[in-house]
Amino acid sequence: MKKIWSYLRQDFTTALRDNIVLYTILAPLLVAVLLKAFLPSVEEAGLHFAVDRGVGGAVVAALDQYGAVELYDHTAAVIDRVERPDTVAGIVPGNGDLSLIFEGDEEPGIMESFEAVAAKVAAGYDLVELTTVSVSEADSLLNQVLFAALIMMAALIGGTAAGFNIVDEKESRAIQAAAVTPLRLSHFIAARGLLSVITGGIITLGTGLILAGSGINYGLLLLLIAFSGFVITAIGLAVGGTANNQITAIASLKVIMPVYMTIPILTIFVSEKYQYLFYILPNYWQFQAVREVFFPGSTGYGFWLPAWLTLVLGAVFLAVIVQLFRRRFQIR
Amino acid sequence: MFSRLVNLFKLDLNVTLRNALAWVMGGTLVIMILTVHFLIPDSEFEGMRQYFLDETEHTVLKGALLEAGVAEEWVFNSYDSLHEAVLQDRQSVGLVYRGSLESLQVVMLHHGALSPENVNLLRASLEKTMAESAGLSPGGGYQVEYLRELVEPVSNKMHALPSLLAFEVIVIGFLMVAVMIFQEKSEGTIKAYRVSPGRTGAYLLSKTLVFASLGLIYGLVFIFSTMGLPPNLPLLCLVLALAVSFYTLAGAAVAVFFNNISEWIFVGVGLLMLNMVPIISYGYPAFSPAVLTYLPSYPLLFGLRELLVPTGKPVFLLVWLLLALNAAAFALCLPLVHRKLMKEGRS
Repeated sequence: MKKIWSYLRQDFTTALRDNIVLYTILAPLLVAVLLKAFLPSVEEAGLHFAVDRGVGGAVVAALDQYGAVELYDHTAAVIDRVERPDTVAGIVPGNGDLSLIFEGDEEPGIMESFEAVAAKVAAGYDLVELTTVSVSEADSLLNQVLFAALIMMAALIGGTAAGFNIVDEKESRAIQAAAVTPLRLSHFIAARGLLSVITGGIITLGTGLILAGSGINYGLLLLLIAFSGFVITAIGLAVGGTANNQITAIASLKVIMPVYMTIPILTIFVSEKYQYLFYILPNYWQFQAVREVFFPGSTGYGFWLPAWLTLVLGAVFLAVIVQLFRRRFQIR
Repeated sequence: MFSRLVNLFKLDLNVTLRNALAWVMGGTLVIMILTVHFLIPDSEFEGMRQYFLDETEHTVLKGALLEAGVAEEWVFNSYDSLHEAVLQDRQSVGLVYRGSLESLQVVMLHHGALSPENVNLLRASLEKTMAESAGLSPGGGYQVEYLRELVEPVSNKMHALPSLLAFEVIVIGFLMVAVMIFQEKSEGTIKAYRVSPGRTGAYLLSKTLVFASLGLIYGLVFIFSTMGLPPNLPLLCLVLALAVSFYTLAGAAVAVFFNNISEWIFVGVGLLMLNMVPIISYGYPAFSPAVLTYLPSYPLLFGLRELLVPTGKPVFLLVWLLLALNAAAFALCLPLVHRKLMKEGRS
């Protein structure tokens, strides 16, 4: 334990000296702040109209209740606006009615919504009294994906910090010096793992605070960080094992990152009947557990099953990585 | 000048292919192709499920709902059972119909929060359905005009291709030119270059050509392996090459301010992340604040979509824009590289 602690202290000194680690701790927190600022306006975005002033003030005022309205002096300007890449419908005076202008490549669902508004505004009927009741505070799928992606990125960075330390030791040949000391491979991995979990934990907690404030169970989040320890350590060893300098470490990370983060996120869009194909991946379960921490009940698995599977499959994954790269660490 | 450029190009190409960067491109390419083929579904993503409860006088709407194809298990008999079903299914909304057809009251059970605009929109959609089923057309109407022919909605796979091209393939030059510059700095190649008859322009052009060529091959292999032959191959090649060369020049302009990858990574990765923000507008086309449209990736993303799935929009504007961006980036980059990189080589 003493050897592990001493190695860990040395790691922290290296980590703090190296810009790469300090910056990578700050980067996800900055992204979380930006995301938090941006997300509400994405979620609340209504429809977007480009309107010819000729339709009259009453129509403009009515359209204003359904989203953003941009006013133009003539139809040609409205058409120019509609032709830009985003989804904006034009409203111009028609033959005694309103004319709704589309490009033709808009999604059918969005066109139906625009038509519903045009029908309501043009006809002025009042057929339904609508009341809305929110049954839970659950957020949209977009929120779930972005929150889970940021938390997984925080954990990934914890592993990366340890990986870059290994690379630093390789470059400075400190790892060769360590190989002739009584340090064992298990101590080396434990120290790296602790560094990964502590760094990843700090970033994860910071990201959680920025995204959710006091709205989540931080006990579960901390447990999940601990349960993800093997996965995070395996990432660190994979980066450190494959790279001999910082440039190749960046290169390794560029391949590891999509495998670790993109695959679990994309499984959201994969049919239920093919989900079993991903059950073997610890990061798949880690992703489900993160979703459960931030949006309880969102996956149908609960928290504990994905958390335990993250731990168990993570241990298997770590064992494979250690076997693959043990010679490269040159430690007994 | 030309033979010097050709020699430099060969040298840079050799260095790039010899080190780990070629493997990274290969590895990432395989991951992207597998992702498109096996992870992104062809069909539309399943939308929100709608559960119903008819509490109108004489339950006049229940029969109409079942006739319209609503599954029987999605039509509930009590408010509590509907509430429970919506609570358990995060991808659902519940609609309770009350009153009469002449004066219909609808209660909508949903998850999360709804903006007033979206509540109004829901109401308008419900009213349109009611008006159509009741044959109502009071007080006039509206016409729909299409600027071009109506096109079928694209599959999720085709929708994903432009974003993978824009944020992985095309930005490869931004990352790689930085890595190459730092490698040359640490190995002292820049100093050697400075005392050779080489010019800054040739140095910059050579790297731009290397990454534009590699990016073009990278992009074409990706496109051929995922969608087959694209509709307008020559124009797509031109756009890919110009876009990669612009990002390479931009990458060089940023990299010259740093000494090594540790210093660069925060700003470099930050800029790459900023460049990715227009993906929000791509996924949610109704959300397009002006500030996002000024980023070069915004027109590029939508332009690539038009090139891969043509709808009749003019794409040549994108080529002119990319030519202008390349010219501006080269004009900015040349003095920067000369002053920051070559000056350093003299010391």
